Amino acid sequence: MQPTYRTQKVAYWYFAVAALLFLLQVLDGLIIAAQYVWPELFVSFFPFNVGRTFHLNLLVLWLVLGFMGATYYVVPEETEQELFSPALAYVQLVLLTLTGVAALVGFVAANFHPSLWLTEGREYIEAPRWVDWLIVLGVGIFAVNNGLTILRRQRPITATLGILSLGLVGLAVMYLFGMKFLSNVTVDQFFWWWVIHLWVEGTWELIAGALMAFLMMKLTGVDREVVEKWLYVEVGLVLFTGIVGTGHHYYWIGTPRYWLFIGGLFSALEPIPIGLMVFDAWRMTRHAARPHPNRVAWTWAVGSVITHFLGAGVWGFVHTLPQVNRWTHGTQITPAHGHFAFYGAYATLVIALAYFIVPQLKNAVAKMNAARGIVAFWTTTGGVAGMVIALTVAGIVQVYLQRMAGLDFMVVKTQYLRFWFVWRLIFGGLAVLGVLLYTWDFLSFGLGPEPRQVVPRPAPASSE
Amino acid sequence: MSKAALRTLFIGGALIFSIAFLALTMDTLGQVPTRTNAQNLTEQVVAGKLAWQRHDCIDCHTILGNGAYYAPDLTKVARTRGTTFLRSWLKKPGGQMPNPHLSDQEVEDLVAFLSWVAEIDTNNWPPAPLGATPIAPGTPPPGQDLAAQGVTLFQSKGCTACHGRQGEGTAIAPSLEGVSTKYDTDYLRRWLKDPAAVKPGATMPNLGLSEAEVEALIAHLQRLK
Repeated sequence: MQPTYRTQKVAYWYFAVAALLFLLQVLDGLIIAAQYVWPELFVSFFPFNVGRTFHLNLLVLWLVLGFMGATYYVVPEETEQELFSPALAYVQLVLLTLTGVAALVGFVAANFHPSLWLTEGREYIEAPRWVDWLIVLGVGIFAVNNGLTILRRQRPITATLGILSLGLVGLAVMYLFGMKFLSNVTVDQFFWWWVIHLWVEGTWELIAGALMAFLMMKLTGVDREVVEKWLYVEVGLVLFTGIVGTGHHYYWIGTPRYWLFIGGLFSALEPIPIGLMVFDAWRMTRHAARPHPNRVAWTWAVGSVITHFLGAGVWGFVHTLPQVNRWTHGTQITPAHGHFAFYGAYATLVIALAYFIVPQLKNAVAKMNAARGIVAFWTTTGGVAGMVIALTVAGIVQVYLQRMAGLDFMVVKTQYLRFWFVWRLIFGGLAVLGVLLYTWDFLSFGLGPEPRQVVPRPAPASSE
Repeated sequence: MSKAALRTLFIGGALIFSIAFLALTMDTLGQVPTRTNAQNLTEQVVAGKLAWQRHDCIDCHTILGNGAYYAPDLTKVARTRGTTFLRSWLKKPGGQMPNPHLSDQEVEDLVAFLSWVAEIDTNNWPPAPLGATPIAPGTPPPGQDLAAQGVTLFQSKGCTACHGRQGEGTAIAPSLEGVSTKYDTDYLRRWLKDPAAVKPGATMPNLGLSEAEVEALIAHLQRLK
């Protein structure tokens, strides 16, 4: 079946660029994981801080491009009309991709010629101010293009589209809070969390919730009325707990003591909506109107719901209370949670969306090699889970030896944690293999000539 | 509940919690100047923060516990290591840290920045290790035995960071066992006071030790046979 709306095709190139950037992100991750084991590696021209800046910025870029691609697919479907301008969507993609590449080149150059024109030196938002403005321009084009499409609609706005739009506007607005130089490092970090926390535990959750609802409706055929009621409850609880839950970042940065109570209380409730999402997905599976032939998208979507709960919910909860966080803050426990949460909440979701949308656009659902896509899921997820366990053990050892027994950071890192960093590297390698498999799979059903009109047929039983 | 009611609840709840968060933000911003000693936030401290950002220090180190976990947290480093150590280290870092080739001005600015950060009220983070007794900088710890004072200094001055917990040596610095038989006391004294003065280009930084601290450390080293 051809896509219902011609202009939905722009989504394809967003997912293609996102897949490529994801591959780059994990290959870069392999380098910096290796530097934990061999600190001399590439230190003269690609030191750890440059590699890590790559890792974080590529992550944000490919996920946001994935959200945008999905939005360009969802908006025509939810408003029942073509996009305002597909050309503008391509201009926006080229602009954002080139801006991203320019920023990366700048980060490498900054290592040789330190300058605030090349890096702002702030975690996740290292991009210098001129890059910020180009990003704002790109996001502005995105907003105008979708905004005008939505304004021209003939039917009332759906809850799914409304929440998706709110999340996207929120994503753009929160980015602005990272664009001002603040001389007091406490105030700087205070508003820096408005970008980082209110993205991943706020606005991005709205985007992800809406996109997951859309995907689930398509894959299970469950009634929209029910799905959207649940969506309101879930994203409502996300915001009720997550906004004030920002306080779990305000324990130790120079902000008042009451945040220990407020941040602890609200952030401890943050796993509730994520748990509800698991229950919701389970319920939808049981009430599925029809089994969807796209088993790969289904696997990644269900995998996303479960790893989201484990990575963001469980791994987040274990160190969110101030009594625990006092000891774990700034240790390897944080990247253990960070890797699992980003992978579960966002990476798997964007891939699930790519696996659903791209074959749909390319009329290739029946031609998909389901085994390959499912092996890619288990390989990547197994790799990430192994890394997370290695980092968690490293974090626990670090908390005991450095924080509690008082050994020096470098002694702990070089003499006690190296073993676990080796395991992290090995499992990181496994995750890279999974991503390579995904990229290959994406190319195999994504590239090539437009398929001729074929009669839709059910997936062969052998691909199960 | 109907979908419309749930939508109202969603929007209303989100607004209420946003307003509560904004109110807390206003109160926090009112308290931060006192808690961070904003009156000491000089132009040089700001210049130091800019140098901190320009060299992208945060993508290896953490500060206030946020950043990368590849290198030590620097929130209280100006207190625990002292500014003499910082100055000498920033000019020529040892261990795993690549040399950022800072200008003399940048070194001074960064020292000012880190000294200001060290005084921020962080609700007692990072916590003191269990069983540790805090020691004022520059004074040897109390105790009858000079060598026992040296053991404490060996931990608190960061010697363990490179030489290992017991001075057994690591990948980045030699073992100290038998060092007092290899070198005479006068040499050790001069070395501890300023390594670069004894051996130009030495990797070990000047720790800014007082006379009494040097003697206590030597007493400790003499027991490391």
